[in-house]
Amino acid sequence: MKKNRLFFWVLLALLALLALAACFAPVLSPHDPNETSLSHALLSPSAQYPLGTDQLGRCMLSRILYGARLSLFSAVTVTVFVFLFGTVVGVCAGYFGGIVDGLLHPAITMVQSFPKLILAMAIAALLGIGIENMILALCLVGWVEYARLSRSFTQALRQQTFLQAARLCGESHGRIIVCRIIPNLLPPLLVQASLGIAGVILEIAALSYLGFGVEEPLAEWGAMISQGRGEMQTHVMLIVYPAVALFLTAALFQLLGEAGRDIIEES
Amino acid sequence: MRRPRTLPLAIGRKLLQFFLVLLGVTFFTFALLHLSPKNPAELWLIGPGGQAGMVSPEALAAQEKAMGLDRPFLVQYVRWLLGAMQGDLGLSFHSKLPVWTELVTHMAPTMWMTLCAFLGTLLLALPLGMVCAVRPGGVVDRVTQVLGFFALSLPSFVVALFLLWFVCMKMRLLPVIAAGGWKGLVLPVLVLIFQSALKLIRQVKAILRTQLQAPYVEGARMRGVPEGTILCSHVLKNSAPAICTCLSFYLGAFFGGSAVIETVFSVQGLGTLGVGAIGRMDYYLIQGFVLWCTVVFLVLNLLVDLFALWANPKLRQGRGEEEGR
Repeated sequence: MKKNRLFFWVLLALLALLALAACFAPVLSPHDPNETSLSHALLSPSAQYPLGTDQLGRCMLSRILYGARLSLFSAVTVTVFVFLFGTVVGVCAGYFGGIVDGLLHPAITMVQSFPKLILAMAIAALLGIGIENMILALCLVGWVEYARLSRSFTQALRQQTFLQAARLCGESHGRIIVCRIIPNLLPPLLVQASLGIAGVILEIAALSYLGFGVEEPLAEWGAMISQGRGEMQTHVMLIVYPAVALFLTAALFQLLGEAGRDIIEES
Repeated sequence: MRRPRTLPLAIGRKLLQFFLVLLGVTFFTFALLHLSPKNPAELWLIGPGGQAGMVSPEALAAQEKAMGLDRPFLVQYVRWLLGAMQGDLGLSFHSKLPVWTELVTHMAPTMWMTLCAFLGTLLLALPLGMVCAVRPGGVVDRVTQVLGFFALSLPSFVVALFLLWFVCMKMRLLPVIAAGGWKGLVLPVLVLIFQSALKLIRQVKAILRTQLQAPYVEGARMRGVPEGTILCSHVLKNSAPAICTCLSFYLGAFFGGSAVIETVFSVQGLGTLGVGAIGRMDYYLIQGFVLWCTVVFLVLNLLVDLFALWANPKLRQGRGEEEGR
């Protein structure tokens, strides 16, 4: 029991550390991540360049740190939006049923029928390459999961006696939703959000790898992997560093979500 | 009011849903492409990289008329829809070939990949899922948990790149760019299986465990039914609809999500086609590609729904209260 809680707090602390590193990337980076220098291309790690340089002479460590900032900021933004929107829609559908639910169900099926990544690519390609459009595209495809989850939770809660008692006491629908349903919904939804952030980070990387994500010179892990692919046979570390960064960050959020789920299951 | 309990009516309702969703998806894609600032006629004549002044206004206007772009939006959509129902999906801007031809010629590698990956995932995940459900906390359970964690935290293209580097460059077991034979499909299929089998094992385990805790299992045990019979004849049958739902999701995901993996391994499949089409703003090809992916996904879902309706007669009445979703 206590082990689970301890694990959770340790993960949260690590996450705070990561967030701090990302926020203070400009301070922590030894160089400008976009500063190219062909005479310093493809160097091994040294005192001046702790992780070496890429084929354009840019400092890998700085690019990794700035990439952390970009990934975290984008992933959290997307998740916050889809969490709020999806939950509101799902709770309304689950609580009120009827027409609202009738509209939501086909909408969910429609969005699910799209191959998610393809749709995000299409939106990003049509609106133009860039962070904002990428975030928008991911928001448009990502809300369905939260809507589905909150809808099924709300439907389950609706049957419970304490809700029926509240209605009998004359509580308004609004009050019931805000004060009774939402607090019960938050723990599992927050777990889903943590797992969701991990997923979004990987999706951002995949989109940028294919060239539909961030603009050209910006440091993003997926884009860095794409650029490093050409040098793969001789300088595989150009891919390894951003890949490890991706893995560690996604793993952190993944573990956090699962630890949260374990804690909920106990209580 | 008593709801009808007949099977044909339920099937009819599902089919109606199928067509409505298909209509909605195609309409949405069409609207999305329509909203794009680029002029399709311009894209046809000079491609996505062209400048505005490269084409004379007369040529542009003529092309627009030929493509039917001067008609209102809904008319364009209906024309496309009618054409699609007859198999005419327009022409690709880039290659000027019919979209249908492009889809068909690129279908083979993706179909093989999907089939092999699906079979591999099924053959791997079902037995291992059963083992995990029957012996939770055992060696198999823990190992799959750890591996599953890796599968969820690593993007598929990183796994793909790693395999490419290790198998093709370091060990030189397979060519880096395969010329369309089966050798080029081995690694992509492995990556797909790795990503999905581990997730499916967890899902199968969860589904089976829910069934194993049902009262009828305890009753069967008390009557002396052997454990193996309980598992195979009863629990597995009851879990089948839920497992099929999961499987249909993976099958659909293989089609769409293998795009990135195909790009890494240079497989000339539908995924590469789709990604290229999106990059080049090849509208009709994008439209056809999305249509195809959606149809596949919806057909699979329909088959699963019909199977569930047949297997569990309670679902034939009422609307929306589906179990196992």
